[in-house]
Amino acid sequence: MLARTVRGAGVITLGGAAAYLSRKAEAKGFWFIDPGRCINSQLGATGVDVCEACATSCVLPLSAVRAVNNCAACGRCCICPAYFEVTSPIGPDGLPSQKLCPRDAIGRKAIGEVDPYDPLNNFYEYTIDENLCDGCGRCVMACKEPAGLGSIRLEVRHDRCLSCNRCTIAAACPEDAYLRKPVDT
Amino acid sequence: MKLLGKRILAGRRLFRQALRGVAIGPEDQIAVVGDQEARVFAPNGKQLHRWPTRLAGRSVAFDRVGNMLVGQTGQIEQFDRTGRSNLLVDDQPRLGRVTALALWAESAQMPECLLVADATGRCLRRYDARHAWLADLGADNNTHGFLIPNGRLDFCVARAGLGRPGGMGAGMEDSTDTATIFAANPAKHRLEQYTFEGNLIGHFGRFGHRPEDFSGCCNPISLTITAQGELVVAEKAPPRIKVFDLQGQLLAVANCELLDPNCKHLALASDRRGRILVADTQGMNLVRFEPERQANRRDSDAAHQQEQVPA
Repeated sequence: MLARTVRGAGVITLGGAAAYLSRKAEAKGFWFIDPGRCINSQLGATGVDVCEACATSCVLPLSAVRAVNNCAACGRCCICPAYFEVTSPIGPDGLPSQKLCPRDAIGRKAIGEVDPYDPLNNFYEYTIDENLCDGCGRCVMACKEPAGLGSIRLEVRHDRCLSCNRCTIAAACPEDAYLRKPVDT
Repeated sequence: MKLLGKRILAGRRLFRQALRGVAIGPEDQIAVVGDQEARVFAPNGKQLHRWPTRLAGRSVAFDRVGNMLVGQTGQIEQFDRTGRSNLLVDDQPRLGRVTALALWAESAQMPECLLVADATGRCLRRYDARHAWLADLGADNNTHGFLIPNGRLDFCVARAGLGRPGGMGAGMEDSTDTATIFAANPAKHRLEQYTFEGNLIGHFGRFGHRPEDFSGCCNPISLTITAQGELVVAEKAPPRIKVFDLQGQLLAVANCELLDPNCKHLALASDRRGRILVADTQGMNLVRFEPERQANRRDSDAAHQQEQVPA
């Protein structure tokens, strides 16, 4: 009886310690993507294939990584290389006929004084639907300089991320761009 | 027509942080601006001058007597041949980033007026011979200016008599008797032709995949005009040079292996012989292009002269 009590107390203590350490570890850091290392946004890496590790390696059915557009840096172009597949055949409206995003997560609307007759005469606001985006990185690569302005980059959505200690995306990242940062920095 | 390229001033990084503009003077001297200085080289590559600029130089041009003008933000600084500088134009807050400039006079006897590409205001600005602001060009379309996501606006002046205005628009007027301005509108994938009064009289180019089209997000990025009346246009991603006549007919394309593929902007200039100078703002060096027949003739002449030299 005494031995059982001691054993039980030991298990509770160990479990509590594990939970405490886990929470402490979690509180110490969060995962983030270094855009200077990520192959999709890294300057100077031209002509390489898109890296889809963020989309395909996460333990979640839909990755915790999302593409995010910095509207302040966005050129608001009509023929956006992240929105259109700019090498696709030209449609009757003079615009590329295909979109780049395989999940159609990028939307756009004309802003400012709109010319209804000439789409090239307008500015466009581009938004990314986070319920559709899976962080595949194609728009990031297409928007990267020099072709685009580099306003799109991949970010970890912490409200979705499980903050796994051994993140499978970090393990799969070929450029070690998936890093853990302490909470207080 | 085939263009042959050769890197000049090879092996030298011209500036530490940024190379932003290039121009060729009346004596074929080459001026480049970047960081916060201007450098002038002789045609053989020997550095003649190195002068600090008041602000970061963004563009450069020469007047007819050889004074060098450096476009900055809100102002234009002039250097005479000795390097003495003064502020030719100080037009803040109206004038923003001057990414191209040119001096123009209707005749050799008349004083030169100033045309400036203001990338902040996304329009061309015209100043009279006394450098007082006269008018803005291209500011009154529905997007209130040129669409320049790259943040640079470029133009050139086609003098009278070079050719008929061209383009795909309808109802254009024949303005061969007067000088006109060609400007790049990158987000619209075309070159636009204006009168000095600011009237859009023609345009050519469109988004597409044919050699004469402009592909990618925002091309063309810069242009210049040769003494022979050919429009030289630069594109990015990948960098390439195209030559058009004033009717918009494509004459030559040069895919530039000598230029850095990550280059976002190519500054252009042309000398009296129609050779094209390209400033690689990423690799920070200069590449000169010339038609193959001209290059072969030059090399042949040089070899012939060498044979004539007595042993």
